[in-house]
Amino acid sequence: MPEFSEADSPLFAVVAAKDNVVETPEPIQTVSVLTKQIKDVLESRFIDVTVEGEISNYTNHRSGHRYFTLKDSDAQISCVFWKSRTLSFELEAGQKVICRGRLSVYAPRGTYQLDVFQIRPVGVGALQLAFERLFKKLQGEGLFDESRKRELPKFPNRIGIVTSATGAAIHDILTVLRRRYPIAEVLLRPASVQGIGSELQVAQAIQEFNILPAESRPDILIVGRGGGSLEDLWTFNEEAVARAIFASSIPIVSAVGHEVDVTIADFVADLRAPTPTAAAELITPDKNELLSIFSSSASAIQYRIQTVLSEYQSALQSHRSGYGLKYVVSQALENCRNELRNSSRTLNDVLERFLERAQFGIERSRLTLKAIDPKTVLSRGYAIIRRSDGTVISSATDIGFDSTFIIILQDGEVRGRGIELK
Amino acid sequence: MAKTTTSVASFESEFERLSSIVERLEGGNIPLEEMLKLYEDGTLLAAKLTETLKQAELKVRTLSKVHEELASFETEPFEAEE
Repeated sequence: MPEFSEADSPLFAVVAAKDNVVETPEPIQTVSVLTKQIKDVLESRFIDVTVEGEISNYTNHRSGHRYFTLKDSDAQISCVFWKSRTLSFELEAGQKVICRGRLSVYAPRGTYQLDVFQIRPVGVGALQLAFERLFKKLQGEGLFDESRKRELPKFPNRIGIVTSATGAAIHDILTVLRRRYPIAEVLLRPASVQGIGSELQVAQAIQEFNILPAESRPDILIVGRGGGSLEDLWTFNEEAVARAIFASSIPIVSAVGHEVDVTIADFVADLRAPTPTAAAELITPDKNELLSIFSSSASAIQYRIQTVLSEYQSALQSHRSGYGLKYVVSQALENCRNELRNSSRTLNDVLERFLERAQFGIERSRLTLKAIDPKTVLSRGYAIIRRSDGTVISSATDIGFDSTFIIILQDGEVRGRGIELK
Repeated sequence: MAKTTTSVASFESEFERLSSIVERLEGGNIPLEEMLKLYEDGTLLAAKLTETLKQAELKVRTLSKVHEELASFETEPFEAEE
């Protein structure tokens, strides 16, 4: 290609090319067309870039748009941050930041600039400042209010998880769920949980869970990630995540990093779990505890039935033996008679023991009778059948054809007659 | 999917039913007929719940796509483990 100096006019170049047929020159273009081409190339090539640098020439324009230059020791790039974007901390000259945006070419002035959609401060001090600022703002808006915390389901049917598909968190959570509550269904919505822009993925994942058809929607969400540096966990200190948690109609448990890590997401969530493992434990009943509840329920039912049945049995026996008391006394008397016959004890001695024994027996039967009030038994559906002379009938064969008897129910007596022996 | 949903949801309601049967029985003063029915139901429920929990295996799926307009979504098996 022949080289032209800046002074060479395009016309001359074309003429020269015509004389020199070997070369096929570019057709003449207008500035607009060329700029359009440059614009197309740059804007499609740098559609989503992340760059770190120091802020200079910062202007917070009256319009609400922010303009600044991002620079390092050897280069600089103009940046614009439109008013419509959210910024949860204040920019200042000299501050180090990471910006994510796309390149845009401004044809009227032949310049290019970075159209920034996200800015994240760099350095622990700056991050802490940003944290405090956002904390105050959201607190003022009521995002942390205790009154809006929702109750979590006791038996979650479907558990939605927002975290990385390859991180430690998902592994830890699934391990716990398999052990504690394998009956649940898990729906994972993978999301990047680190780096600038990941907050939008997390926020979107939360929103997606919320728009699922009701019958497939999880009844609880775990949102989080495993441990990392302050920068690594920063996603969960971003406003977008906080707002998405706040807007969720599904209750959310936050599970970010380790015990000591506290994020903005933790304050908005319905429950803060210290770790992903703890989150899985907090939201599920324990399989072994459930199994022991089931088995103790079965035993309680068995026990209850047996107790009631033996109550019936002794109640029946008491009735058969003429209300027990007489029986007890006669038993004691019978014993004494035998003792008198077989031993050389004095009558006095024996009588004393008789009284002792009878008293003991009476006391015991009084207690039993109290415990099994026949009326209670009758109210459960049993009936007592007596002959007209008052003796209790306990066998079907004791009722002759056409003989009459009295049926005693809880609220009265009925006279009956034997019709047929079944 | 719909089928498993019912079984998980009924786990909770059956567990609650079992608890209320035990409570009712312990409260006492129950007509004989009802008591026998409670006994039968409760024993069956406890066995069924135990079996369900012992047999259960965690189902894990990945939510891959949500179509808001269609109120539908797609999932795929989760395979990122080990």
